Amino acid sequence: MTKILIADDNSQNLYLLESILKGYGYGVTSARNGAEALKLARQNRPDLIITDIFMPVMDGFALCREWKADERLKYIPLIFYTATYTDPRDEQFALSLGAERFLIKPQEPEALAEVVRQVLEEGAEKATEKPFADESETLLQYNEVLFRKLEQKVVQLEEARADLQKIPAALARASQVSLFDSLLVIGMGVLLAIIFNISNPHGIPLIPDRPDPVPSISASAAMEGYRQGQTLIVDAMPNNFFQLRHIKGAVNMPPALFDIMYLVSLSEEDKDQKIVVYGNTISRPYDLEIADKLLLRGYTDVKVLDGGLHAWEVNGYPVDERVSR
Amino acid sequence: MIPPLIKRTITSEYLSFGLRVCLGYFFIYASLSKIPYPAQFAEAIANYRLIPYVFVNLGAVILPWIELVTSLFLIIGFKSRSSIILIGLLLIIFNIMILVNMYRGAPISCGCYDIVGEPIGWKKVLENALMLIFSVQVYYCDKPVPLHRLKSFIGAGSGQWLAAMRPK
Repeated sequence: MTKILIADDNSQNLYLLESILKGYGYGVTSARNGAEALKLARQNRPDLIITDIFMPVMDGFALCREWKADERLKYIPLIFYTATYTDPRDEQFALSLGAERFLIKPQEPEALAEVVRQVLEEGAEKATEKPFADESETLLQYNEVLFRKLEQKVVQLEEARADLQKIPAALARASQVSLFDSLLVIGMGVLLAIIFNISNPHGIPLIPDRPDPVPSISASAAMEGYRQGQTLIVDAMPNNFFQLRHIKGAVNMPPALFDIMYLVSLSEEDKDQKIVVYGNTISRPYDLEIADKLLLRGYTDVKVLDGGLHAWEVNGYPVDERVSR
Repeated sequence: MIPPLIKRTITSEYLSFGLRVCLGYFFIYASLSKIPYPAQFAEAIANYRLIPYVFVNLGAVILPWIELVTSLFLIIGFKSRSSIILIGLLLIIFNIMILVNMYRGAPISCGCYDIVGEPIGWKKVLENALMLIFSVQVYYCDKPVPLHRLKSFIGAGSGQWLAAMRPK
C-alpha cells in the first residue's frame, strides 16, 4: 500500500486530508509539525509527503529543506498544501526548495487525488533532477518570504485592532434606545388609533369643538347682583369634591346631572332670571357647557364668571365648603 | 452585599421574560377596556385637570393604542427596549398625575382599567411603582431574541411542518 505522510497543525485539516486520502486507498500517517513529520519519516519512510507551511516548531519550508538535504528522504516527493502562503513568490520559493507541487487550500478531493497520483507516478527521479539552490540565496529568499508574511500579519493585526476598537462604541450604540425605534412604536400607535377612531361608532373628534362663547361677567359685577339676591350662581363643576370651596349659596349642577338638577333647582325660576355660571378647568370648560344648556332651555340672562372661583376668592367674597342648595 | 443567588435571580433573563409578559398583559387589558369608548376615557383624563382641553380627546384616542402597541411589542420581543422605555414613562406620568390629584384632595377615579375604575390612592401609586420596578428590571436584564433568530426558528419549524404535510 502506498504510504503518505501528512503534516498540518490544524486537526480539522488533518482529519479532512486523511479521510480523502484513505478514501483513495492510501495508507496515511499524520504529524502535527515539521519536526514530528521528519521524525516519523526517518522511522518509517513514506512514498509521499503532503505538508502545510504555517506550523509551529518547524514550518513547511524548514521541513522541505531538511527533507531534501536528507539522503534517505530526498527522493521522496513533497507537496506543499497551504492556505496561508498564497503569494506567487511564496510558490516560487517553495518550488525552489525542491518541492514537487505547491497547492493552495482548499482543493476538491478529486483534484487533490489526481495531483497525488501524478506526483507518485513521476516519482522520485524528478526529485533528483531538481538542482539545489545556493544556501545563502535560499536563506535570503526564506527571510524575504517570512518578512512578507510578517508584514501581512501586521496589517491584519492592525485591521483586527481597528475592528476591536469599534466594538465598545457599537455595543454602546446597541445598548442605547434608538430614538427611531421609539418614534416607530409611537407612530404605529398613533396611526392605528386614528384609523380605528374613524371606524369606531363611538369615535370622538380628535380636537373637540369649543362650546360657543357666552358673555362673561366680572366677579365684582356678579357680587353686586348676588348681594341684591337677583343673581343665581351655578357651580358647573362635575361634582362638589373637585373644589372643596364653593361660592356660598351656589347651585351645583354638574354636566352629567344637568337634567335632574335643572328639574330640582331651576325649573320654577323665571326665564329672565340672572344666572352666573362658574367652573372652568384646564381640561374642560364646564361653565360654557352648562351656560349653553341653560341658554337652550330659554334662559336669556346667562353669563359665565370671569376668572371663576379664584377671582371670587381673591376679592374676598363669601365661599362655603359645601353647596347649600 | 446581595447574595449571589438572589442577584442571579433578580438579573435573570427568564425573570425579565416573565415580567415582560406580565406587564404586557396588564397594559393590553388596560388598553382594551378603553379603546372602544374614547369619550368616557376622555372624561377620565379631563377629571385629572392636568391636560389642556384641546389635547384631552387626542390623548383619549391615542394613549390606549400606544399602550396596546407597546405591550404587544413587549411580549413578542420586537423593539422591546423602546417599548419598555415608553411603558416606564407612561407609568411615571400616571403616578405624577395621581399624586397631584391626591394632593388636591380630588377623589376621582383613576380610569386605568375600566371606564368607572377605582379611586386614586396610595394603592394605585404603589401598583404603578411596582410596575415601574418591573420595567427597570426588564430594561437592564432582558435579552430579547434577535429577529433573525426568531425567523430562522419559525422557518425551521414551518419547514418541518410543511415536510410532514407534503403528500408522500
